[in-house]
Amino acid sequence: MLSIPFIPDQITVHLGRPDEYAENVTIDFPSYIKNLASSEIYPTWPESSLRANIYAIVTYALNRIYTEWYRSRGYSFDITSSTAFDQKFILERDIYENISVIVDELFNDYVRKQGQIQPYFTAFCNGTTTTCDGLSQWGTVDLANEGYTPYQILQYYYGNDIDIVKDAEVQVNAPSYPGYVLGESSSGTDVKTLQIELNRISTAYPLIPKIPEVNGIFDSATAAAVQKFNEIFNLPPTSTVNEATWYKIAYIFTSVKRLAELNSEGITIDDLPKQFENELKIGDQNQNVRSLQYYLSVISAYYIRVSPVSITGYFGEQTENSVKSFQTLFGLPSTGIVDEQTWNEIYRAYAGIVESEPFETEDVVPLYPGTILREGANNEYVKLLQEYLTFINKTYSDIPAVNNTGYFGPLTKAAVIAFQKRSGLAQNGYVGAATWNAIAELYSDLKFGAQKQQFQFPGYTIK
Amino acid sequence: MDKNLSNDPRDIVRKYNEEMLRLYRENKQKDISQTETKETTEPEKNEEMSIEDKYPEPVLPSYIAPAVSSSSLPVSMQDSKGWLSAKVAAADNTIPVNDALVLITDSQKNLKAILTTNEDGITRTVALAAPPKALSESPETQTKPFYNYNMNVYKQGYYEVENIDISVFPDTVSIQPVNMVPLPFAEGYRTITFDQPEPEV
Repeated sequence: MLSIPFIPDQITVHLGRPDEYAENVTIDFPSYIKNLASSEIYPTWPESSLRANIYAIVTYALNRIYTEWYRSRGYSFDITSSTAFDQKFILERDIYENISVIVDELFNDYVRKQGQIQPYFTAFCNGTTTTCDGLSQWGTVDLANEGYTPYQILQYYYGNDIDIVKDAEVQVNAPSYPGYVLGESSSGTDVKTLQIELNRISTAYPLIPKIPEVNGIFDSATAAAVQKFNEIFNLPPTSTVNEATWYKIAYIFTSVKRLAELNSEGITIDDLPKQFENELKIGDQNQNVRSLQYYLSVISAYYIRVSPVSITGYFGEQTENSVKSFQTLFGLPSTGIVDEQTWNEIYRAYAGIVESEPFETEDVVPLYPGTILREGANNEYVKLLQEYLTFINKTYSDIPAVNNTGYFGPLTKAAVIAFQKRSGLAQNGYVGAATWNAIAELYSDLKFGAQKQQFQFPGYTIK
Repeated sequence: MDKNLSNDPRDIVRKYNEEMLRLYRENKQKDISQTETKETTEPEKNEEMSIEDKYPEPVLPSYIAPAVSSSSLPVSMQDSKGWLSAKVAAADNTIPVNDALVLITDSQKNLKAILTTNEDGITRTVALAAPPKALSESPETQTKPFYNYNMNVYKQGYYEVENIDISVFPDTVSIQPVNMVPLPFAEGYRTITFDQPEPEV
């Protein structure tokens, strides 16, 4: 059991009954809910009915995750797509726009019994061919037509002693919604976060205009970017940021960054082996395993049916599952052992991806040098550090700029402490792995975000 | 014009073919007259025109089938409209796929629309026939309250994607997300060079 219910970044769905041999797919939580809602109910139903059903769908999924229902029984997924056990999920189906808009609003709200913490087990069925001790989908249509609100509909089926918990914590690698709509008159760190995230996203989606000044002021450039974002992602096309837009931006930002981090990781691994060297299987721990995991990570970002894997260098159960999922997809015997044929197929799939989306090799920040940088040090990495801090100072003036002399003096130490304070790290003035990575990440966000692609609207009018 | 209201699919396909041929001929005609003018005004220029310049691809408008109307039935039983668009991207919605070709056909394999994606991977939204709205408002109906359509998406360098039985409801916009996957290398290995820039220190 976990402590406080939260909304996950991604969810892993088993495409069959629990004990049936089937693939697992990992997708982001809101997209999963949109798929479910479009598979379980009709978009033409009245609004109250749609909302009540979506609350039930979200809560059901959160219950499975919170109680670790499948994970605790040794399965490597969170939920199944089988209606006999869970909810109907149809891979890569169409999504109804009106349902999409409601899900973007409600995906982080759930139902619980008063006095309990966990998301309630909101069972439901269609109410015609099957009946159950829970919500009747067709029944909600009648109730909605009689004027019931979504909350009243839920009470009708689950009892009067229920609460709807709003705005649960969302586990994306981005700050939480501030709690109020951001618009023309807004300013502050939340607006700054928005500007950085939108600029980063616009490297992938060039029709979103760049915001030239990341200054925390919601100016017309910011409004234009928000408007375009809302249009592209099927949200109400306003130029303000409500909760739905805030989290949509956060989820897309997380995906874009995840891919970018993978790309930069690849640059720093030396001698990526193309040739098969020796068989790899569970229990192995070496550089070849690391490379294997790197290839599988890139592949799983593009192939939904290949499960993701962490790059640790150790061939454990997660790696074995990932290899098996790859083998199944490519018609190889799913042994979980990487023999020559499997290795070649993996490399070919990876090479095909690289060819289609060439990695950007410019402006990649080097990895942590491996030794702590502290006052008194004098080397190239200190010079880089000073350069990054100075660049960051342009957006965050509380972090002082420093000359890039290469010498780690008291001014550099003060800048490091200011950064650590802002990031919630221990304020010791040393630059270890954690501090280096945090500085590199922020520098990369600001620098990457500022770069325009060809033909991309620069964010200001050329007269 | 009465012809446009014909809902015989063969008429639609025939009209489409005729229109394509007409445009192609028109383009070729234009080009021939241009070439002729060039030769009389600049007899000295001996420029070799490439095949592509000589016979340019005709610029075709995107095709959208005329809406089918079942006007002989009472209003409550007439078809209504729904809408469909595609959102095409790779790597789980992270990298939009520009200039992908999207074909929409109905359950009888009739071509309903030809679209292309923009730089954000999105096509425009097309109107398609959908059943009368009354059908989705009660469970006691034998007929499904939606029509099925199919979508094929092509882009060079990626696996082709086919989505079958996309449901289109009346008065509802359906968005079909399409995940494009790059094709693996066809032959063996190839050296991939990561150009390491000179470190700037």
